[in-house]
Amino acid sequence: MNAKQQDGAPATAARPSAPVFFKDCVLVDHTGMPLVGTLSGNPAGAPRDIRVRVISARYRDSSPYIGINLRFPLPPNQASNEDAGFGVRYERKFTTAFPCM
Amino acid sequence: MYVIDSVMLIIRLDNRKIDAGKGISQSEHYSLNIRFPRGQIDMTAEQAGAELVKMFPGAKFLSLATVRLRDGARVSVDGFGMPFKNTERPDVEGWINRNEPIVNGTTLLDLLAQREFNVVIPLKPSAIEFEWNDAHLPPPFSYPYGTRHQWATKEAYTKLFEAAKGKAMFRPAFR
Repeated sequence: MNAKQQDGAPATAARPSAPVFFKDCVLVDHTGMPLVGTLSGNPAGAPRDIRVRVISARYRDSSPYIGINLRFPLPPNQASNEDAGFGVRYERKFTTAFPCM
Repeated sequence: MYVIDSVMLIIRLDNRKIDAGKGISQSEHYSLNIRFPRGQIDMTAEQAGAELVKMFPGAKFLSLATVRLRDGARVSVDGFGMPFKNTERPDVEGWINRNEPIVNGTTLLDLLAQREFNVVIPLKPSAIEFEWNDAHLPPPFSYPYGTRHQWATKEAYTKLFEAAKGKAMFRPAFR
């Protein structure tokens, strides 16, 4: 798929911009109708607080991958999660951008 | 799962530093990661058509990227099926726990089970091919210990012991 590779340049010549690359995006179906995600709104009327991003996780110390990250909102304190016995979800705050978990 | 996670945290410290004082905080979202199987997808990225551009008037540049899974390939989804409750937002709980439609009858499972993922990204196609491309990922992770860990024959040991004999040896304590 890659124009650079077709030109004969090796794939390793590429210098990615950051250890983890991510960008907001919108998932659309095969007809081009938006599903979820927000870019200056969602024309399909999907809830705006579902965030969708493409990820390129260039880890050297675990499996690298490309993929799509979906985020659904949790309420403050996650009281119902806690009351149900499922515990509260925590996440790590990194100085370098870390998009997932 | 969480225990493994905290181990990973330590291993990963080399390239992602934790901000002192705010290392761990309560999460504000339920996060799912769709991971594409490496080397088993076909990707294209092209400039978005006029219809899509019309739908997102604020964006500067839009591309349509398509990821197709090859025959037999499957995505893996991180974080799916974790116990979850959200009575404050029954709609969110419905999407995740009861697979209720999110938009236009599309459910979460419909999204995850796609064979072809189409995404609109506010980047130029060349930038997408550069940044979001499994050919540009580091090599697959493996521990640097090789894959052969068994001793095939007794001779292998004998040879190794002979080769590894040091100069300073113990005096035999018996005859």
